[in-house]
Amino acid sequence: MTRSRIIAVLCFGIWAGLFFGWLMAAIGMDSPDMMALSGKVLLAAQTDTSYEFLVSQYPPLPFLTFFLIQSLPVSLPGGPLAVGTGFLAGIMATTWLASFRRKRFGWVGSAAIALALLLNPLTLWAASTYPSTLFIVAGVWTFGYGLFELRRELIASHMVTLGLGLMIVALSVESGVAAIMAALPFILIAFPARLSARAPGGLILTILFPAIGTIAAIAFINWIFTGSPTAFLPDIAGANSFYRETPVFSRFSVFNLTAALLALIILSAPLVLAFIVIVYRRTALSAPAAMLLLSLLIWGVGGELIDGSFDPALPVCAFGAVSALIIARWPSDRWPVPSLAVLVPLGVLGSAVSVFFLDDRTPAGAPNDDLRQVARTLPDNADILLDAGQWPELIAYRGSAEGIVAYGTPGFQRVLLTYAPEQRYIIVPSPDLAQRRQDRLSNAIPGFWTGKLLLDYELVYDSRSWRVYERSIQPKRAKLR
Amino acid sequence: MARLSANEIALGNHLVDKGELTLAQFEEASSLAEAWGVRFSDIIFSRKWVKPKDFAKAAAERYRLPLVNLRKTPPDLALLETDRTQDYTKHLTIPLRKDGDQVTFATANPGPDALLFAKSIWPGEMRFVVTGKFDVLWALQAAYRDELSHMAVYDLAEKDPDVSAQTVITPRQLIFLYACISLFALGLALAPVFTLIALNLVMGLFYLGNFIFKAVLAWAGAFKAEEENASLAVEARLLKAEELPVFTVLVPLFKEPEVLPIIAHALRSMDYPLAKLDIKIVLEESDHETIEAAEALGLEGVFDIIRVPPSHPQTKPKACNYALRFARGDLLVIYDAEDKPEPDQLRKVVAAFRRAPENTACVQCRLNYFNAEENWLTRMFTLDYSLWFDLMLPGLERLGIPIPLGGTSNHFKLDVLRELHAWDPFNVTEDADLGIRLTQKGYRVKVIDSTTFEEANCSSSNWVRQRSRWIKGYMQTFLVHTRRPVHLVRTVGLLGVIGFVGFIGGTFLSGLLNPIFWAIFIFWLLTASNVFDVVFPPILLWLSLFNLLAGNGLFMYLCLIAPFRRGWLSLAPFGLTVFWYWVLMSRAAYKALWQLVTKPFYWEKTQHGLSKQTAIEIEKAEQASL
Repeated sequence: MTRSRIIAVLCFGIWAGLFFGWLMAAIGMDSPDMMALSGKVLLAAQTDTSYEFLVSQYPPLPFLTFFLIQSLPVSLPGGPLAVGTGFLAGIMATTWLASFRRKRFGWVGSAAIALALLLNPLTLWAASTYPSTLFIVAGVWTFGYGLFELRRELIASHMVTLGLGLMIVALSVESGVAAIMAALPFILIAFPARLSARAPGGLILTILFPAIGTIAAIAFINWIFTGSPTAFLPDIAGANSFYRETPVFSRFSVFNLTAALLALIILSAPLVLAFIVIVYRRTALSAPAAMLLLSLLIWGVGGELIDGSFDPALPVCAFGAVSALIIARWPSDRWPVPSLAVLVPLGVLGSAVSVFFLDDRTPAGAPNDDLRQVARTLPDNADILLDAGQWPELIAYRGSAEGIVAYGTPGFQRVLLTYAPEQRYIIVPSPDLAQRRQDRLSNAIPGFWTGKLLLDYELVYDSRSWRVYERSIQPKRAKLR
Repeated sequence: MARLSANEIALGNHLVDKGELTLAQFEEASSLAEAWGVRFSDIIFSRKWVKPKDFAKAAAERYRLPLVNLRKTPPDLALLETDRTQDYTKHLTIPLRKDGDQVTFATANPGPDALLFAKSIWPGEMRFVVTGKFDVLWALQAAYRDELSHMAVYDLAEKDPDVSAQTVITPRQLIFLYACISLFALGLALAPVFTLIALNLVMGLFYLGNFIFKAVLAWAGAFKAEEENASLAVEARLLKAEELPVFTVLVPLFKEPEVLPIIAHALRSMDYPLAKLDIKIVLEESDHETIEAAEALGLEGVFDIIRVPPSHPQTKPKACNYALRFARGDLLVIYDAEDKPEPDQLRKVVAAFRRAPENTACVQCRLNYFNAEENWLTRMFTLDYSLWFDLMLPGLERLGIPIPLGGTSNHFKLDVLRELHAWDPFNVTEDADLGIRLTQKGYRVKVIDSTTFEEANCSSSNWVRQRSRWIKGYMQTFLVHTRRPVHLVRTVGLLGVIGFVGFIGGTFLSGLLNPIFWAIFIFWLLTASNVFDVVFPPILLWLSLFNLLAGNGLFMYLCLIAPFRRGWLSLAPFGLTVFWYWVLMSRAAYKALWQLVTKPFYWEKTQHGLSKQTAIEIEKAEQASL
């Protein structure tokens, strides 16, 4: 590619990224998952949270990305989530456009396909609902790219690409490790038999090392800072399962669930099946495509069955990446390129139908209204005692973590020891909520909910789930934050 | 296609008449000599049909010339010119003595070629006597013994002292080192915590840069086009024998007579006309055991034995420099005695030179091991070499960074090698140094996909000896080329300097620094002490943790994927134990540092022939030669 063409591709990527980020900000990223992550990022960037809080965040990739963006010295419009998501979308747009151009598609056609895959209703909906969406799209594209290329030539770089893609998936979503384990048998099947039969142990190790090695490193860091190598595991269980206590597809049996997911895949990415049918004799193309399809399908079904908080919409959404891989390898000798002009728009329409179905069954976050009210009672720069790590949505609704005295800070520890708070505000969840979310303040000092231990405070907000106390008498000693 | 000269035809007929050669052999030798453009005698020597001494005897009879034994009648030294050594070797003709105005020439190649050569030296009256091929070589070695021995040691140091490792460290480098140490000591006295944090930061950044650099190299190296490799193999196969140049093969050995059959068999098995090989078995004069073993092998006439006179330093590059004076090829390669190059390697090298830019002066082939599965050490060594030769070196080539050449299987254009005054005999990794010098002089090194299989060290003490020499050589190379930093930047560019510092400096520096950090880490793990907290402020703590986990993880991963290209994934799980390999590496690094101070030019000899697989290879080679 010449320099001017590289610049053109990059410009398109930057534009696509900015547009995607703007769309995200415009649509609003206020789903429970988004709010929870947004709050955690604010907390980590704006307060002296403990290392324990920082290292025990899982999945780490979205958290670290948005945390780094939030920590930038400049204020970015739309917030770190919109900017980060837009940035990832820009990378994907650039990569996809470049891969389509290599296939000698025209500029307009390549750009149109890249935009159709990126800005289709399903991806937009998922990206505004789950912070992991574009990470998963990027991860699946990367590992799929490695899988396809390894069938072309057995070189180490493609193996690294495959391993990196799996690592991205593993670190982007709570069920990431389960996802790559689900994919493993299919990856092995997709490999040339002469390699997988010779030393399967070595091959599996090489495939999984980046993902497993990184998780082992996270466990090690957790062990150093928290004393427990598994401190990050509760996050995998899903703190936000509070909002979705039952599986989202609970009304389906395994068979029906599989059929439903397959239907969604066919609806939103019809060219995947078309491709497998067209090239079924060319195993170098059909095997990776079929195995990617099966990997994501099994992940969707398994994730839904095992983890109630998991949304199978995520693997369905990743079919945008699979479509991009397939288009870059479209067998133009068998099926003319213009056929894509039918299949791609069909996928966009199908994804709109999928969104209608998926959005319809997402449970509404009833407790959100209550949290929003609590956040409104808290002024900026106030001195607020809260186990914020367990209630990041509250921080997100407040829009700032300034003034929060969170678990791990000396001020919080002092209250746990003395039972004598000095902060201006104390926020306490109901015992029931505190139990479910493991609120370390309420669980340690139940008397705060009843107010018996808060004689110097007055109740300024009271609901079934939350109470907010404000100090009415100034403390005698200097505050320790 | 060059026609056989009338003299060669007459001599051939005479050999047939005498019963030394069959008619069929004569016809085959004649047609091959014509097709390949080589001497008739080279063909019959390479086929072992006639011995050089019998050939000389027949030639003397045919031309009715006296047969002279140069060992008993040595040439007049006053008539020999050192600069003509290569010509004497090429034409197998030397001036023997002068009687008045008449000069007598001794030739092992009687015919018009010898006559023209003699005329170019002495236009006056002349006569000829016949001698054997090895007599000429022996006489030259005996005549130039001291002079060539001196040149082998001091040629580079005298003509280009700035790039010779004879001076280990220059006064300016010493002053710089002293200034750094003083600054550090001053810092410790005035602001100890700040100084230690600064040092910690520098080391942290070094580790970060080192592993990022190695990752980039491996990535770039792995992407080297496989299509290019395939087309090179095809092009090599299509080369006609007459297109192939004479290839000099140097095989330096020292006290390892047992492995000699391996290389002899490998060279005989090369897909290259043996008559176009100029093979020099380079032996130390005092190494009687190996000399006797080489003679006992009854090698073909294309194998010459070069006896290197004793002198210091007793190193492989010095021996090669000495042998280089007798080389007559257009290209030259060095192989170790236990090497098994792939049969098409020389052809691939010729093809690679033909398609490469004119300034390509060296083609480096990959090295790997034939006894990889012998024990843990050989497995780790194989992973190490796979990473080095299959990923790192191609990465260096792709990024345009100077390539430190590997120990053997580097193929040179002979004229460039001579222009650079060949190898530095004071540098114990003379090949790595030469790679940097080639780049500095504007030449390029190409890495191609052809492998030479060697014997991996299977004994840890032997391995440490070998590795300590390599690391000491890297230290020498680093010191030599950082003497003139501005010159280095000008000649290899900024990226080249970064690569040189990262690849050469990073390799030995990490070996030296690792044990310090391991010790701190283990102490901290065992005691949970907060004594180091003061020198690990948050940013440094994260950086160190990142280096510890991501850096080590990455190096481990590189070991896992290194054998992927060859499909040797059964070795991959051993990559997880690479930490113990690094421990050995650090041991070797400290040994190297100690030797750099105490015995900088000492050549730690690697003992070959310890592997069971080598014994099998020797047996195979001996069976094949029967």
